[in-house]
Amino acid sequence: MLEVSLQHYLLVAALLFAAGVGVIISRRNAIAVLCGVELILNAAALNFVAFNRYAAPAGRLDGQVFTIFIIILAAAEAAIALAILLNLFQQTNTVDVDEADTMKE
Amino acid sequence: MQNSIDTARKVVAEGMSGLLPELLLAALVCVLLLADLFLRGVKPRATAWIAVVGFVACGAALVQRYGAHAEIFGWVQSDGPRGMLLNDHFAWFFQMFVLAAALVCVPMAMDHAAFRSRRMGEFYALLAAATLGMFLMASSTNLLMAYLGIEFASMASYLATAIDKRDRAGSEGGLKYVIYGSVASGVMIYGISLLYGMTGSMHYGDIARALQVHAATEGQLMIAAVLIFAGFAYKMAAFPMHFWCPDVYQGAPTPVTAFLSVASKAAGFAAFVRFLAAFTAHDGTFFIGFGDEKVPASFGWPVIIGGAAALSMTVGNLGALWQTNVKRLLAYSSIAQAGYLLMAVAVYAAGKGQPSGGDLAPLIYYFVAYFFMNLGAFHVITVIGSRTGATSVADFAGLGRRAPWMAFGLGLCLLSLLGMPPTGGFVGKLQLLSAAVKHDLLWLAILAGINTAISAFYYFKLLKCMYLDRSDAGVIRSGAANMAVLAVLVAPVLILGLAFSPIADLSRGFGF
Repeated sequence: MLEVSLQHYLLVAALLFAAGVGVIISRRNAIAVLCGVELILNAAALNFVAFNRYAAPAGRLDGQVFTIFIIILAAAEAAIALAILLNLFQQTNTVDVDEADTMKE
Repeated sequence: MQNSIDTARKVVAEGMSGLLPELLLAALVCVLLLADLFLRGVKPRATAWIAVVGFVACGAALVQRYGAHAEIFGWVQSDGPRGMLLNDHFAWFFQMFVLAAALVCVPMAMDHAAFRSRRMGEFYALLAAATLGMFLMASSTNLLMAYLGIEFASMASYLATAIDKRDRAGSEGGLKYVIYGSVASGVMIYGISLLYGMTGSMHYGDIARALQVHAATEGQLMIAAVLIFAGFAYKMAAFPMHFWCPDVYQGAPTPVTAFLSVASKAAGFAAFVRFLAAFTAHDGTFFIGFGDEKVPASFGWPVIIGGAAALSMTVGNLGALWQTNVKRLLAYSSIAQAGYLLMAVAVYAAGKGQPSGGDLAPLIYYFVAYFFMNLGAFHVITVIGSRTGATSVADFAGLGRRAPWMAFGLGLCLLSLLGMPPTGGFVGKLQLLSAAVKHDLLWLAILAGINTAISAFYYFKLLKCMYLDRSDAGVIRSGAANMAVLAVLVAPVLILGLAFSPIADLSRGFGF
């Protein structure tokens, strides 16, 4: 029976982080980029919970608390990003971040 | 159980009593939103005056707090306090700085063409909310608090950038800002999680102590440090997180651009310097290795920050050379300015643990000069832009004749940004360069000198356009109120360049 240790959590989190970065780099759809950001945030949240369980001084819950804040902030950030994106979509009919590039000369 | 509730109650009560300016700002946000709802019949300017009164009240409360040194929202252990916010001279300076920038942006917003015909309570509420977030950034002593402050300030800034719904450029700028911003904060928080794993805490004091006694390899620390630096660099608009800056500064309404380029940058620097001070506490050395084999090592901050500074100035100044839009030009200029300011931070990191001490005075002095020269430049661009619709450098042709005082003000601010005597920018840059030379960062000082020469091209391009190019367009009436704001912003640029010693003395009092 495999014992689940800190390393396993960190490995999953690192993979999530890499997947998030990959999505952000490869996708041009603004909503897909935001999904990539969510993956990164969840990788960090997983790290915090795992470190809190295995590495922090006993009785301290800093990592768990930080995770709750990450969840709240992710929701707030998505709300703001989607509001701005919706506004742009009503003007341009696209959610492609490369299309939102009319200012460069 | 009862005991711990009592302790918690005591902590909150003590914290709240030291938190009056922040509470006033939070109240201002609520009042502005309600005023927007209920004062429909009242003129659009009413909310602007509410904002002014609120900011002044907050300023008065902040003046009251001068000289305080208290770490709040935490507990005290035998080796020091563990709080969330530290109200000290350093925080006080940057909070006053941010508040003053917000206050200056109110008359700019009142004058901004696109803002005149609509209810503006929402906008001022966002401005106050961003200010509150930056207050928290400046006094944070815990990575959780720093992160929350950054996010608070960022979210209000995203919305302020895209506040004009009919404006395509503003929406584009807002989208870029929020997308890149959430990527940067995600990367930063992953770095924070790694640092938390290595040190077991997020309080700066604990991190410093943990790095002192036990161990992470230099590679591990380097990864965490670089990831966290990316998040701070985003707020500072410095390399490698500068690419959002031109689009956002160009797309945002000019008063918002002014606020972001000054206040947001300052708050980013304040939060980063606080973090850096923890990371390099105790002589700038820490111990690497596992088990009994502990070797003292000094972390590569001067190299990381110096490299970011060098690249920021170079990228900013080279990018600005080809710009024709004034706000975009100033965006690249502000990336370059972030490079000069980072040079002061690199000097601070290099000076830690040396007998001469880590000195923040050049950073503080340059920020004071930057406040006036950058806000002065953006003030003129707002005033001229809202009367003539001018956006490109060519639109400023003949400004020396059409609006002589505005042109003079902008010219002086540009010379100061370039670092020419007799302006504050010159004295500030001189201090930065001499500090860099003193702390063995000669290469950085030389690079800054070369960059100053490059930047002369585009600052003089705008100056030449204002004074030498002919234009048949009529005289621009700027209004007495705008003239008064101009005088308040531009006079200090000269004073800082001519009578600098009292302010240079004062700037020494705002370090750690």
